[in-house]
Amino acid sequence: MSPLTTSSRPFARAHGACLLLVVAACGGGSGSSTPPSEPAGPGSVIGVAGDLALAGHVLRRTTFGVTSAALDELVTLGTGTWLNRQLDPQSIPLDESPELVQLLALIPKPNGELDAPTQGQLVGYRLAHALYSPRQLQEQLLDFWESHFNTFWFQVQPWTGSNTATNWLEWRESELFRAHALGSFHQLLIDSATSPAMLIMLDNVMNVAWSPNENYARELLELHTLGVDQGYVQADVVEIARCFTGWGVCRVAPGAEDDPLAPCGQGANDVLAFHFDPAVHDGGKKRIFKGTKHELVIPARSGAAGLQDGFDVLEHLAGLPGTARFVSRKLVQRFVADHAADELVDACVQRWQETGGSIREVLVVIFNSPEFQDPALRWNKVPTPLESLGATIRGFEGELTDLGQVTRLQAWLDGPLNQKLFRWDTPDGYPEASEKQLGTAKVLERIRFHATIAQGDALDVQWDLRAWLLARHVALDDAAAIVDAFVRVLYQDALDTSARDAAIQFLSTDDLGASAPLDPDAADWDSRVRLTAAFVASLPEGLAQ
Amino acid sequence: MNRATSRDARRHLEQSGLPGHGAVLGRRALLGGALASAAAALFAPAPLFARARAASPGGRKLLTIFLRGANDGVNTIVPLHDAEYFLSTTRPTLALPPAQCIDLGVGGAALHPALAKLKPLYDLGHVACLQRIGYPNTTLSHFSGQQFVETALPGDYAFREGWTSRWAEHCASSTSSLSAVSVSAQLMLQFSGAKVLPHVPSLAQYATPNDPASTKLFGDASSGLFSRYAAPASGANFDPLVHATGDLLGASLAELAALPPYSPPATSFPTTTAELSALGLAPADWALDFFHALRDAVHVLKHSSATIVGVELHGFDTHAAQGTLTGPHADRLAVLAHGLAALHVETEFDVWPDLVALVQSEFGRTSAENGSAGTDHGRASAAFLVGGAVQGGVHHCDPTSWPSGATLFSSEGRYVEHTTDFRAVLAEVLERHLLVTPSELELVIPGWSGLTGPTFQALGLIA
Repeated sequence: MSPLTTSSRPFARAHGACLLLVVAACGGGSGSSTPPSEPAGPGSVIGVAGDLALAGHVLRRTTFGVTSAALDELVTLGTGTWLNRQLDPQSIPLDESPELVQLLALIPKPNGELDAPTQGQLVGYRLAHALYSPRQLQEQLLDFWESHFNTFWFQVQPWTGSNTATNWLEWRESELFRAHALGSFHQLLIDSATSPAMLIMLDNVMNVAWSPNENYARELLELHTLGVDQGYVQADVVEIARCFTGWGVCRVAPGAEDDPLAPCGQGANDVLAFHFDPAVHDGGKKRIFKGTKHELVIPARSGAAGLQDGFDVLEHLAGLPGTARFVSRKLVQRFVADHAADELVDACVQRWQETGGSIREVLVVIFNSPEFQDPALRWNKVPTPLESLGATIRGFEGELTDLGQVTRLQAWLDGPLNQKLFRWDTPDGYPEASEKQLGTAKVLERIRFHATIAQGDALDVQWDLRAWLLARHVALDDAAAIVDAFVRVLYQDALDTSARDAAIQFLSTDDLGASAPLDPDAADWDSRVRLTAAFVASLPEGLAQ
Repeated sequence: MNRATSRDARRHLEQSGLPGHGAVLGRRALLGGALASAAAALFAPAPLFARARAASPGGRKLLTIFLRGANDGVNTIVPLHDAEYFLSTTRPTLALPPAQCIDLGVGGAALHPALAKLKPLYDLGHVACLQRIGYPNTTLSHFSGQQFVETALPGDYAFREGWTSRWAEHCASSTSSLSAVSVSAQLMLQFSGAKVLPHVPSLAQYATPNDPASTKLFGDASSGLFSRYAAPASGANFDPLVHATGDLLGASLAELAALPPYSPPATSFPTTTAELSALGLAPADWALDFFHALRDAVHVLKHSSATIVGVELHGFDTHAAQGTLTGPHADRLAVLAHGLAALHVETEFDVWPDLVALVQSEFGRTSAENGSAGTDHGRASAAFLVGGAVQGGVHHCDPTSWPSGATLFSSEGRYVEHTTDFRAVLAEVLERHLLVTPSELELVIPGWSGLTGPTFQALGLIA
């Protein structure tokens, strides 16, 4: 790998300049005294306190939904304190979230393939974390990596022949992505490449010396590292496929899962694991990116030594500038804008190169960038269905207290909302692009989801809006105050007056459509308030993030 | 649509070198649809006359069926006359037994046995079998390949506007919300763009009546959410697209809820795995999904003014153990053929005479099989046009047009090279069947008039 020419970073991107810029903008807008600045240092985010709009933006981008508590915290303590903590997820105790603890008690961690993890465990574990983990940024990144390295349950299951084994492989892969979500990209690439689910998904289990299967090699280049048709040709696909011949999956004795050279067995307790078979590996010399400055020559290796070929390829690809650019651009698309600014991507690539592909450090560049602070780049993305339902569940502190409710939520994602977790069928994963979140059916089903939750069936997520409003000292007969409380948590006050007025009018209308004052003691108070919450959540403005 | 896409579209049309296109698309970036018809009229004086011919009840119809995953064209329309196909180095386990293939009577081409149900329609002259359909410098990426076919602008990775959306914007004459409908789990790129089109994954689910609370929530033009979606968009970010989508949702719900009921027999569109098995089809969820979508598509085609309806069939990415007479590839072809036969049965006495079904995939597969008894990504593939409005026949797979020993590996020694560009097939369907004028066609297929040469010649596919 040839290092990029080191050039001085654009001045506007230096930490200090960024801080000055943000403080100036914020101080002018709020009219308050200069917000307390936070300590600057390498690898940390410089934030701003007292800025509701920025606090909302940070939460909309880095969590699965704004909560009142988090909003207050970011406004009071500043966005930097919160983001820096999120960038170090291990520092956040999971039991900061009683909801997560309560839910995970119902969804025990599987202990292994033979522990029979169920579909509910697999998806429920992920949903529980997305909705309630205090490590929200980690969950956002997990979601990102699950799509980046997507494996499709139904493509894995026919090979394993077992639902529970498939659940286990997916669960284990997901746990690795979660653990390494903000770590090194190279490690994530290894996690994926050696994941039995991926080896099965992209046919590497059938990749043999006498006739290589190109499926994994192609997607490794196209989807995981360089990006489609960027800096590779068909010959590189063929050479890389040769390197991965012999990488497969077999059953090994429990405890030997991490040894790809462990003997394959048929024992009743043997479990599926990554396995290297020297007998089907192409031990010849390989030349990848032949004739380019990124050429990689892999020497002829025989026997077990051939295992190293694939790892050499992964290390080489992880270090390529093209990989830094492709993955950085996707991160910028996720956290800033669908059409990422080249300057920001350049800055990310530079930091990537300086840190050997540290995702955490690239995120620091993104969060400190002028683009992330730019008010013109807010509300410029369309949330995914999971983000949409997260926003209303988290915003109104909805509760899931039994597995039936989790299953029902899962059914919404699998069916009408069509963001299947672990069951997305194409290797490019669930799409991030905003226009992919739109379409008449998606808009329709999001409204229906909110309408369903509003109707308060015991099998759905539970909202206790009366308690929620009382906790915010909102008078229960004051339609405007109720709507404003909804608007604050869902839109951080950035809702058009006419939409707010429409919501107040909606709340001031009884179930038969007649204008009627809101009476906290009346039988219809609950249904009116709940349906108004659904109304506010389903506004067209709710499709912006 | 966002600004970048409009800019890309404009750039492409400007690059086509045709006068006026910058102006036509320039207004798209600046203004709404009000000027569209005026602009179209400026450049296209003929369509009013042309469209008058299409005034038969229900009008002309196009059903698109996208075979996702890259269909193995070589084992779909089989070049039985080519000895190279039978070499042990080509397809040692995947070559189909000639005696069981369905001869098309042209001295070479034969259908995969699983496509048997297409043969009666072929004999009626209602099936055009097209081999070697593709485009230059084919990407080997599924996602880019599907994008290129759906945008009709191969090679441009950033352009994300479907050709059907552009057709609806520039050519559709109906005021219905249903000029074109995507009946698919995800909104197909082909149907997305500046002109928003209905996305209906399931008709029953979509048009199911609301309970009273939801009815209040949705509201109408003067109250509830629909009044908010009908309110003017801010013009920022995705707001115009969000409002247009919400508005169209209301209109399409009303139109779809008003469709007369349609209850086709399970022999046409099986709804359970048992019914699939009874028909000799693979008892799989993907097959049920396809028949569900096809049933809804036929419902819309028969009973609404929709002109273009799209469905998709998944699972053609057969890298391993794709099978011959049985197996994943045969299973999918059999489901496709059954679906097309059912389409005939169900529409024979109404829309069939005015119908074209266009069946295509993003690209083909390697001519030789790999070590996993499968095939890897390739270049040209097979396509079909089916329907009463089709001029049946076989193209590019008889001994004269498919030279034996010089065709299977004609592209890079691994793939079949294309003989006809997929855009030529699309252009013929649009011009000859949907009566799109040349200047409109330029808007639907960017740069079309600049595409010349043998691969862009019309094949005579429309009756």
